[in-house]
Amino acid sequence: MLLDIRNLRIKYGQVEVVRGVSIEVEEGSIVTLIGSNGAGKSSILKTLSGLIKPSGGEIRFQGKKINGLRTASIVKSGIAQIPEGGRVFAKLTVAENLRAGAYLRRDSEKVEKDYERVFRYFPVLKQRLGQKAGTLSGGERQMLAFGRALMNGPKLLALDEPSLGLSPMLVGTIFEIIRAINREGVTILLVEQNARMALECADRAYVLQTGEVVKYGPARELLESDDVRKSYLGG
Amino acid sequence: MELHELVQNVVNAISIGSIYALLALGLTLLFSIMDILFFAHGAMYMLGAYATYYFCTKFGWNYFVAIPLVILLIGTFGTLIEKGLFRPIRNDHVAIIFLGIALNWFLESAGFIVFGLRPKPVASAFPGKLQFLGSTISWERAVVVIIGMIAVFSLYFFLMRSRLGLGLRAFAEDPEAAELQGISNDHVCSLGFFIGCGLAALAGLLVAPIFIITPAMGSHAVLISLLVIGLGGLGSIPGALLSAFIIGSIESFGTAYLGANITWGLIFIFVVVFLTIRPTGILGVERE
Amino acid sequence: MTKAAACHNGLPSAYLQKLNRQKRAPYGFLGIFFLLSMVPFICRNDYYVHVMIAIFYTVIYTSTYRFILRTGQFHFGAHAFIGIGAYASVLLVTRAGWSFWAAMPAAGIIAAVCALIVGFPILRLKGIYFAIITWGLGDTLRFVYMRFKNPFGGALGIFSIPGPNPITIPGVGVIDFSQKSHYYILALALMMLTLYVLYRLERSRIGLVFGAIREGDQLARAIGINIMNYKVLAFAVCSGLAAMGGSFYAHYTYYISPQDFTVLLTIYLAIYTVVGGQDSYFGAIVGTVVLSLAGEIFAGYSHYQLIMYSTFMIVVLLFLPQGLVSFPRYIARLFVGNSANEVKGKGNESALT
Repeated sequence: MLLDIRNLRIKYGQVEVVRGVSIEVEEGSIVTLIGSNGAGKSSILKTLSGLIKPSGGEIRFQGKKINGLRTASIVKSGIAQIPEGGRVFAKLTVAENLRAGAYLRRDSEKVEKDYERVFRYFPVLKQRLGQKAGTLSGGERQMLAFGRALMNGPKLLALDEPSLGLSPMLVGTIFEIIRAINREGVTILLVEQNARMALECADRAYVLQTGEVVKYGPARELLESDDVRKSYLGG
Repeated sequence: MELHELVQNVVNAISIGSIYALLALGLTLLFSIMDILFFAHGAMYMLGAYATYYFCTKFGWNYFVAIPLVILLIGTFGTLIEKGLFRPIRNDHVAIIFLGIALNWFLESAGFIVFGLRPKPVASAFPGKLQFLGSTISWERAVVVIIGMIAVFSLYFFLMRSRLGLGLRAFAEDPEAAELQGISNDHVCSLGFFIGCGLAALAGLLVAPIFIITPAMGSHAVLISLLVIGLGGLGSIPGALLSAFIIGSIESFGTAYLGANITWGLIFIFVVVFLTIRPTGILGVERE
Repeated sequence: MTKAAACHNGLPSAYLQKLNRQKRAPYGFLGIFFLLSMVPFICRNDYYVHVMIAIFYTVIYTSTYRFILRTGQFHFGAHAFIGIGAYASVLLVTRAGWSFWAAMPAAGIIAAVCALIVGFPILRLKGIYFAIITWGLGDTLRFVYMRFKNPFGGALGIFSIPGPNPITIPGVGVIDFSQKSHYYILALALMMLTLYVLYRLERSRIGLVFGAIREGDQLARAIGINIMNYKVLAFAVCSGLAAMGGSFYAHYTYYISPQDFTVLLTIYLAIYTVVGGQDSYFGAIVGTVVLSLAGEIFAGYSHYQLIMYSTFMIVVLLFLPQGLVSFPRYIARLFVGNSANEVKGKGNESALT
């Protein structure tokens, strides 16, 4: 098991937003968390990256406990995250954004390779290298966010709502890229509100409701299950 | 106005402006990275000047040996302060301002007790004079401008070209997204305090041979640098540089023709009127 | 109507309780006034009476300072308005021949008008600009007092300021300010008046709005209140009250100079407020009383005093963010465990954003 989240609890003040969630992510797979707004999906991802400290439970990555570690150490151990909306550095150029992604890495040869890989996925970024990220279009920004996360050299890539605010055509492209990245050996943990796309793309899925896992299993099965259809796929 | 007077005042304006620029630069850098106003900045400037006094006058070391030592010393002191005092309350911006205030006046009072009330002299490292367009300029003032410019350019290259500088800029823009790239909050804040306090110390180094050194010099420096970064636009480095030279010019020409007290009022009124018309300062951007 | 009603309907009983308390409040303030006014007649030591007087006028400064802070403005120029009050009142008495009893309120009004004039343009600016400009204003005024010997007396200040004119109070007799106890009563009355005004402001709808402002301007805007006007109003009222304190100070010490109204004065007020507890109405009072008394240890050694104060402030900021007023709760929590109220509160975020 690459990532093993056990009985995770997250509190904001007195309010418990995640109440004992367990998630398993196998190496090389795509796992998705679906659920409505406020189900606690984003909080789980933030905790995974060490931005929030959990109030209980355990997160193991490659067998090692990582909750309680600092974000930088977690990133170094191989977990990259694309936050909601991409959040690229608008005042930095595209090239600088990518270099920021490789901030912790010293292996310049592999960094160069990853650089090339980013341009293979997103050729448009190569033309925009010297441009400020703030001047990019919404789709290009999301691509840059992907590129930046790939520059982390991750084993596990966590994605928070990558399709949010993108046109349907771009959403299709993004999911293709997710699959392509996965094929190269990067494990994917995908948080999505666009449940249909996510389920079609994923191997396994977890359905979250008000901080608890209400259903989980192979994504195909969930895609065909009646209550998931009703609640998340619009009938 | 005679030409040599004009030249004299322009040179004064530029040298005063350079000092203010160094002071404001540290402050605005800390603001743009961490979103905090560090009120003890002036105390660092004061400590920098006193450190220069001890190294150069008391121990008799060469001025150029003192420069890196003082910067390193005060910068490290700033880092320790950040770790010990500011880190625990990093997210409470008001508490941070109050903490800076407390620290500034703590250091100032301690300065009065340790260093005494009497102003301290620092012998000039560059006693000579320079003839330029019919006016006499002391080498000291020229050196202030040169070292100030070197510092500004080094900072610029550090921020724009180095890996750590990239980290600082990324963190300034979006701390959380930066953190997700492994740019550690703690490292950035330590580095920011090191640079900010180091710049203040450098300003102290430069004024030490020109002005008199007293423990009270820090508080006035804080006000000046706040006015400078307010006028320039909070968090804007080019804005701070520009406004440092504007205020330096008003001060230089005003003092020569109107007297120091009126000039002070003039600077203040200028800043107030400007901010009333344009609340973001010269180059500031609206921040949420 | 609807907006206000909706706001009140939410907590009718709490609001009624507040109204009730408000009705009884004047008696409470009068009671405290009479109790405290006994002190100089029981304790006849002039030194202690003097310390009490100093605490009284400092409480006026601190509590008004805290109230401006509470509106979300990072005030750094309390010394400006206290100075205006002192100089205006002294000049009205010595140059225009006014009676002190007319000059003191006039000085308050002058300072309040100045605050209004300055307030409207600068309160629009964000919190930290407000700090820069009020600080600058205070320092500029100091340079003005120094520069213009006539009428401000220059750097040396103004000497031999007359005390308040004698007044006759029916049933009590003539009060001619020949004794410290007379000043004591006046300072006490001024302080109680200030505290009462601030109490009414804080418990009024305006005060509730300021509470809302601290939670974020958004909320207050949602209730449909023009925050700007209230901010300026609070700024003017508080500056006016502080200026009356300044006026008292001038006529009590008989001597003022620009050195009395430096930024250090505001720093002291900030320290008292933070140490006492900026979120609480009583914080400013507790901070002033505790630190003033503690400061008497180092009376005359202002550098040591300031070191002690700033150490106090740092300790409070790091370990007791709600100030000394929360100390009992803090202790309670130590013994009872975590079941007691959370002591650690979030700070006043709105002042910066």
